[in-house]
Amino acid sequence: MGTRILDLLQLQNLTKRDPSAYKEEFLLQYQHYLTQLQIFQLKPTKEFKHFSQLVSYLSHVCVCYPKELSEFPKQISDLLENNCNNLEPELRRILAKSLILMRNRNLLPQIQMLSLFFKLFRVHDKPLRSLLYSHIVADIKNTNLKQKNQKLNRTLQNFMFTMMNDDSEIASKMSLKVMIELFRKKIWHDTKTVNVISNGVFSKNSKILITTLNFFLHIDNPDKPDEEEEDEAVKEKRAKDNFRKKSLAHRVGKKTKGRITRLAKSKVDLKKAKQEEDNKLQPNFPAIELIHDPQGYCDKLFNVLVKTTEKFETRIMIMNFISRLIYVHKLMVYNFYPFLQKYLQPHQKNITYLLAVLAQSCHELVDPDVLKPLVMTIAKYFVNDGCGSDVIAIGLNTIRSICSRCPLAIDTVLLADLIQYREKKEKGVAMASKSLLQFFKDNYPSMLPKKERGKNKTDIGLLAFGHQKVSQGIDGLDLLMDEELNARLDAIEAGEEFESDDDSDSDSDDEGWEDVNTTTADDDNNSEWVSDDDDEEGEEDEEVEDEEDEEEVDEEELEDDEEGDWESGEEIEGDDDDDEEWEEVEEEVEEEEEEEIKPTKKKSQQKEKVEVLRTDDIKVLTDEELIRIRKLRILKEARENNKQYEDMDQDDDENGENVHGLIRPEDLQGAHKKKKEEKLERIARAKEGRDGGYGSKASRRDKTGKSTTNEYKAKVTKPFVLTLKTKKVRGKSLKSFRDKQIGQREHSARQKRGRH
Amino acid sequence: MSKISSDQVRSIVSQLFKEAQESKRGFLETVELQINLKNYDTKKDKRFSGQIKIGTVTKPKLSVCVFADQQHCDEATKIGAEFMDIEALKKIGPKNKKAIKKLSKKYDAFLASESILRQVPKLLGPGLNKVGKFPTLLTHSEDMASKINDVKSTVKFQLKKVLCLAVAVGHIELTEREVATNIIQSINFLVSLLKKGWQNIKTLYVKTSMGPSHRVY
Repeated sequence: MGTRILDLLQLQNLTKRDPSAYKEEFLLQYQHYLTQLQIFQLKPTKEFKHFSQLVSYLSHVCVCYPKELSEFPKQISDLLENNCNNLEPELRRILAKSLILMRNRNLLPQIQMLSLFFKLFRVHDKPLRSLLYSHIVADIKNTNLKQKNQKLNRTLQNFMFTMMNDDSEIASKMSLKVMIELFRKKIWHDTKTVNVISNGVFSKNSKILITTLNFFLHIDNPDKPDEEEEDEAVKEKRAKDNFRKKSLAHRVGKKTKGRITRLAKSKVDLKKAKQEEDNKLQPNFPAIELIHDPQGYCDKLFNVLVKTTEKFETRIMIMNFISRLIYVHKLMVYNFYPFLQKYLQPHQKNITYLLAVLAQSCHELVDPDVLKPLVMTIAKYFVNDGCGSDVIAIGLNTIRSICSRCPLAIDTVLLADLIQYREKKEKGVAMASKSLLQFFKDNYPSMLPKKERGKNKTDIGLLAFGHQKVSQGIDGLDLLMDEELNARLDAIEAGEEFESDDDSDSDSDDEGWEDVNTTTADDDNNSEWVSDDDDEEGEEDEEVEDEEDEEEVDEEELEDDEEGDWESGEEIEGDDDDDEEWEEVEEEVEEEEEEEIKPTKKKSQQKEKVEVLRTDDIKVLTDEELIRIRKLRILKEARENNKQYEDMDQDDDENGENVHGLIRPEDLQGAHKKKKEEKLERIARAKEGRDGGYGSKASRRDKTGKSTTNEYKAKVTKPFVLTLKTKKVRGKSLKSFRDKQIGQREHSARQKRGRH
Repeated sequence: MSKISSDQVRSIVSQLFKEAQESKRGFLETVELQINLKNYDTKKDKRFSGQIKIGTVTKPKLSVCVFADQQHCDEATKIGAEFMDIEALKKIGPKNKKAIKKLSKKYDAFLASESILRQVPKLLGPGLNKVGKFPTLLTHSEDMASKINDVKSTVKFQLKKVLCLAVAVGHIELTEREVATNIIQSINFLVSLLKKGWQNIKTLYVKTSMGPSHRVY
């Protein structure tokens, strides 16, 4: 036997090298194979060693004799198809492997192969299935590597779709797995795949149901970041760095041919990396958003949920999925909330998860009347003095999250009651209650009792169901014209110590006005600008319309018009009002002369001078202006609240929520004291530490394969003086300014992110 | 520097009008703004959506229906707006999907009085929401005619399942100047919505319903 293996392997090697010379041997073996095949077709025997060797030999040399072996792939696949259940498992695997080999050399059409393989999924043979699974994924990936073959993909997808409804549970589960894998690898990253997958929730098989749910719940917010994406980012950064270095070397150093070619190459690399980034731009939508007819789907799923007899764990997963669907698509599934209500008990298993599900399923189109009983229930069972502090905290946090989405779900009496908890001793409870109070203080102060309202008196929006916010223009555009605020921001950015705004103010006054309007900010003129805000806007609108009627308006004319309008506007205003303002202005002048600093008073006056010029009608805003608006808004807010100005990142999430509005159970728990360990836990922990026996740490360390590294030694043992002259240390001070800056930026970013 | 100057927009609009004049169509052509986005990761970035009311009525033929309570009924009859009272809605009923669909097809937008809006989901089911025509709130303090006008002149930016969107910003019977301001206003608003501002915008096109498209950016 041994010699034969050697013979065949040797022969295979030799045949591959020189097919024509070994043709006769090949034909002989082929005859052997044919006779054996006939036997196997009649009755698969246990003696398959020789046959399997022949098959693997033939499949290897198949490329060399395409004519003679044209029937061979067909024969094998037929054998597998007809006798798959009778064959020995090992032989089956060998046959499948040889088919895969031939498929990789493109000797078999893909569709035929896949249909065969899916049939083979029905066979009870786990190693075979995993082999086929990995092959199918790899095969489809390879066919889509260079470009997407839409037609082929469509037929394959249709095929998979039929497989999903296959009788054999294993087959349909495997096809689901294949599709999920392909979606994850962004090979089949489209609506159709998602919708085929989404049908899995209606399956009778609980494994399929769970797989589907896990897909939708985890695909968009994976626990670990996508490796591929990270790789690409790293790649591009490296290309960029490389290019920078090479171009510097070329500029500064001697111009050799090698340097020039290296520069050119790095340039090409950079371009390629950038292009890859651009090509990646095919929309990368979360799977949950791609589901067709979400309302119908969700209703159907809810019906499934009501009737299902699955385990509790599965049921809460379905609930979570439904709640995400509701939030993402703003659906109205009003039956869902009463359904959840029966679970809302503190002793309910997984109650935090359920509360998160509930909070997550709220959005502005949910009728507050539907939610009110739920909020009441939570308040009743979770937030009462008989409950533990963590229970109260969770309840309050849930109520806050619900209210942040539909503020009408709570009534004022209950709210007034709940905010009393902020005086509790327990930290978690107090914090939760305070955050509830703060939310309403910031957004809907009218809901709060009078003395809690704080400075902010107006609601951010109309407090009514179904109200949609329609902006009149870009928020904070008028701030761009507010010269005082601008001056302040400039000063802050320049890093000046901002003591008084008098000097910079008068300077910027002149500059600022000249751009917009030739009128200067003389003391006399100030009075003209002091007028009611509403009037200003109204007039402005008229202004703009007038302006639009005439095709071309002379700028000077426009200014004159404006001035006239302003004056007339003032005439309309009441006299007494006017006088007051005058007095104030006079006061102000005096103040300036005496150089008395009363910033607060000044601020309020300056604000009235804000001219609301709707520039967005006339000119297209640039990025810089938009950023400036954002900064100005923050500054304004900070000043109103008497806080320090900090330039916040734009992408800080509201309420610590996920971008897609997901609420995690941990978010609801809030701060709580670490519980004292039970005795058993303490013992277990102590035992864990004692595993390695006694002695010093070093002696307890694993002896094999974990010797100390040189870096570690250098760090710990070497005196600093010795490392002072090394490249590593000296390099730091010799770094270019730019490199230092880059390093610093990265460091601070890392600090912000926190170490992982 | 601005990415596009307003003169540029104006010249394109005037060209647009010239072409529309040359080949007159049997209907009122709309001026459309088409936007392609880039660098926008729908997974990581928050979905943006926003509505802005611009100066002029963009969709004059938009049919609006008011689900009115008693006070609004009177007002609607006075100004000649189409309306349905609560009885009419009750007649349709939440089960009759066909009638709801027909209703949602008949009108382009809906307004509802506060008391009725709350009952809309109960009375009509999710059908209106499904087609994106959930009624807008109409309070008693607002003037109905002006509110209807507001609806007609509102531009809504919302990303669907693709990375491009198109909005109506005017029609060819407006003046060129009006259309140009509308375009610039909407562009400004859109850019302010986007996280990375202009870096998120790949291309901008302006076109009339039947005319060729012109690239603005």
